[in-house]
Amino acid sequence: MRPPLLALLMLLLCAILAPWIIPGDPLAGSADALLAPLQSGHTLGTDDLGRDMLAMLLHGSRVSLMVGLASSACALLVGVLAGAVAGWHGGWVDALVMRIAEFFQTLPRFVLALIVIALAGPGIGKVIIVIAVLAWPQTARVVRAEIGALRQAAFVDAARLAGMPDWLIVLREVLPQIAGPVLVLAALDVATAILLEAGLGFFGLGDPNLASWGAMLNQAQQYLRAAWWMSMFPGLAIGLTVLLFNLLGDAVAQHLDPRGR
Amino acid sequence: MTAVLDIDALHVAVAGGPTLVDGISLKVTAGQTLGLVGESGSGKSMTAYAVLGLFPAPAIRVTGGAIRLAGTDLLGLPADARRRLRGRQIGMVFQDPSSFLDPLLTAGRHIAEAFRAHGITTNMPSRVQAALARVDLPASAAARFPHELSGGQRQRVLIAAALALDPAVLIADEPTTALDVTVQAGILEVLRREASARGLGVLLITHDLGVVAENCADVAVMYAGRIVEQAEVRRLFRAPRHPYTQGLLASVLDPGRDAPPFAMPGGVPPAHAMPTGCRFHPRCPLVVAQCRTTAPPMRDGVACWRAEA
Amino acid sequence: MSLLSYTLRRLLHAIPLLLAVAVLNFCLIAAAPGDPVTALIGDFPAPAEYVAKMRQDYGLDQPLPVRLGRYLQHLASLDLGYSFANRMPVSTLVAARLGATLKLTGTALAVAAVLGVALGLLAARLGGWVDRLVRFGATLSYAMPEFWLGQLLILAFAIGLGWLPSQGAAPLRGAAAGWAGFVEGLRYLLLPASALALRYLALIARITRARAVEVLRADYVLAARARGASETRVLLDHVLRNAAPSVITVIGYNAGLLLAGSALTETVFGWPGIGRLLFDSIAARDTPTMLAILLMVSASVVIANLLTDVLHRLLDRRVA
Repeated sequence: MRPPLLALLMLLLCAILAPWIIPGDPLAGSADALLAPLQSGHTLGTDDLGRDMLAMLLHGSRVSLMVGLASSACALLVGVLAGAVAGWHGGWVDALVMRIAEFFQTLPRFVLALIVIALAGPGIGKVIIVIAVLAWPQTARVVRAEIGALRQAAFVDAARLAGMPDWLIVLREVLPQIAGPVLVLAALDVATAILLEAGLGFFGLGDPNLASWGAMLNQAQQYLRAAWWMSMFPGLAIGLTVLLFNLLGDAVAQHLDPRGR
Repeated sequence: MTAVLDIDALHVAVAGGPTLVDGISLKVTAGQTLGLVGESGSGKSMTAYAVLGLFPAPAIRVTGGAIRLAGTDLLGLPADARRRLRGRQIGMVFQDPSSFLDPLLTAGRHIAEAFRAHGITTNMPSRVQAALARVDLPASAAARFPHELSGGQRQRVLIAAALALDPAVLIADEPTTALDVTVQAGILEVLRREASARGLGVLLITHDLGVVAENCADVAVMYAGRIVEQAEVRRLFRAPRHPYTQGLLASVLDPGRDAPPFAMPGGVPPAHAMPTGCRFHPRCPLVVAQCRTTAPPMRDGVACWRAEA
Repeated sequence: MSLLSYTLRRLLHAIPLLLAVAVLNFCLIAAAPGDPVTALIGDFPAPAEYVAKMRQDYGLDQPLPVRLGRYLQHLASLDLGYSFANRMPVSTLVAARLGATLKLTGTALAVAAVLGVALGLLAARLGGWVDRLVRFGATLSYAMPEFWLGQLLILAFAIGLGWLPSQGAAPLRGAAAGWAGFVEGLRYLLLPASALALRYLALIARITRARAVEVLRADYVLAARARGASETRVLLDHVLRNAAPSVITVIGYNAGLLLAGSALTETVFGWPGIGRLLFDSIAARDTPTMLAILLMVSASVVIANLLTDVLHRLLDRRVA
């Protein structure tokens, strides 16, 4: 699991430091349009408007990672909260929460996100919220199942006898026990969110003022014949980032269940 | 009488690892039931798997000896020939009937599978029905799924599938251990009846001396991969000669005895840390210096330096 | 419980979900910015009476609950609304595109299911480097966005090698008849179907492998071998059968993934299906068409889940 983790940290560092590594507006055009990689100082070439691919990729990573991490964090928060309440409370609260979760799970994520953003207009914040709203049920289900099982555990009874209030028991005693499977889901959620954001960008629904990998692929579509690099590098960036988060999830899962698959 | 199954100095080992079965010899005679007794981990099941030519892990293999079925050495046969003997010449019944039946197949399909595996595809319903009748199950059981059957019925289905092609040898690996006591007698009765009616040679693997007493003519006691004592059943119960056998018999609850059953100290050593000499010596009350250094040979049905001849 | 009563109960369970999807759809319509009438008339100033008449004609002057009722009523009679941008009923628009999408998704699904199950079984049975290769390939493929894969396929097979067409479902001059037309159709289908199938294939191969590995270790497989069953029969009769419920669940519960992938793939390949229609309707701000597609996709997912559960039940009678 070491190399993927290292690559992930590198990626994160690149995204954070992008404005310092390649300063300036990556979306400002120049006369050097459609230069192939390694031509006149452009390592990865330029696009149809003469913009440096490397600069756009680097700055685009900020959007992808931001959307991925933030939406996954929001989904995690909502999912854990909803799952904990449902699992701990049981009864009609449980039934209600699970029914709502089922409804959101039924909705086709990508198409709904597409249409909501199309109606509401582009914006990173909106994308994050839409993805989070569609992603929380899975986390909620896992948390609910685990908490339902832990409710009867001996250490919970012990805490209760010691006079700890319910919410504190859940927070201090129960949640740490289920952190593992929830983290696995969170890592996979990041991957899904990055793919989804790229899809939105590809449909032309990204923020027009920010470089984004999906939007780069949208643009590449018209220049496939003339500039393969316009498609190659953003696609690689998306695939690699998604792969790294998937591997992270697998690694955590394997760590939790060393019997392995 | 000639042996239908003749296991001769069989060795089974993990590739590059410990030996699990260390040179055991057994003979199963047609129409007779041989009991193979020992604690778990003694190598009883590995012996059975070696006869079948199937091991639960690919790293386990036979490393020496011979297994002769009606005179032919199985170990020299190619894989497909071994497969064609399974089910047809050698039937096997397992310990836990609920995990050894495919949950998604009906009872009938399990029995039909035995026929189909050997190229028999005609008259299947009547064949299945006949096989079920032999184990006292109604024809309607054929359409039942495992979860719709009781534990005893499941074991009957497995026995019916194992006996479907009239094999010469049946290996029964703890066939009643996972069942309720009330059901055990019925299963053993079916096995006894079928064995005598068909002249079947049965290798009955069990840790239950009561089962041995009621079902077997002869018995072999296995400890840590070796046979320590082999005798006719009544003789063994009357006068056990190996200290391990004596311990086993003493640990059985006997209502006619005042003293509580004896609990043998310790357990079977793990395969990777076998003691030198007699493998029972760390637990043996009669141990002497020779026991620690040299393994006793099988003499006169017992492998013990201290056994009185 | 019999299969029939299970199906009925499951159906009853799906109805409120469908209803909720429809209500959500209506809320999105109502909340959508911009007035459809303005969109219809265009930017030039229209007489106020004319606008009022239009509003009345389309029922836009009614209170929301009444409009919701009418919306549901229309849906029940398969009326999906009116596309102001295309000046035709959405149902007509959609019906013209449905065939192409079904062809694309159907092919991709079939390819993904057959190859995915085969690769998964192979990996589980052979182990070793085959297993590692399949797992590695599946992990890699699952991370690949289908629209980028589509572009790569175009770069390689249409632009680079010039073997296959890259855009559309048939040549512009019209499709040939008979066998030649069928082969030509396949040539157009090959790249988009492959692009769409890959992620799904990876998913199916992974679950098949995981389940098959489990089943191959099961006691009942040992028992089948002890009966003399050959490895082929073991694989077909026991492994495949016991893996099937999980595989079908993964296939059915990821129908949304396939449909989303289809929207992206159709856009890359100019495939004249629902996905491309969605892309165009977003570009044209054609809200009724967008929402009708959302409704259709959601309903498809609900129905796919329903079918999955029934099929699962059919294969595994133990499911309560």
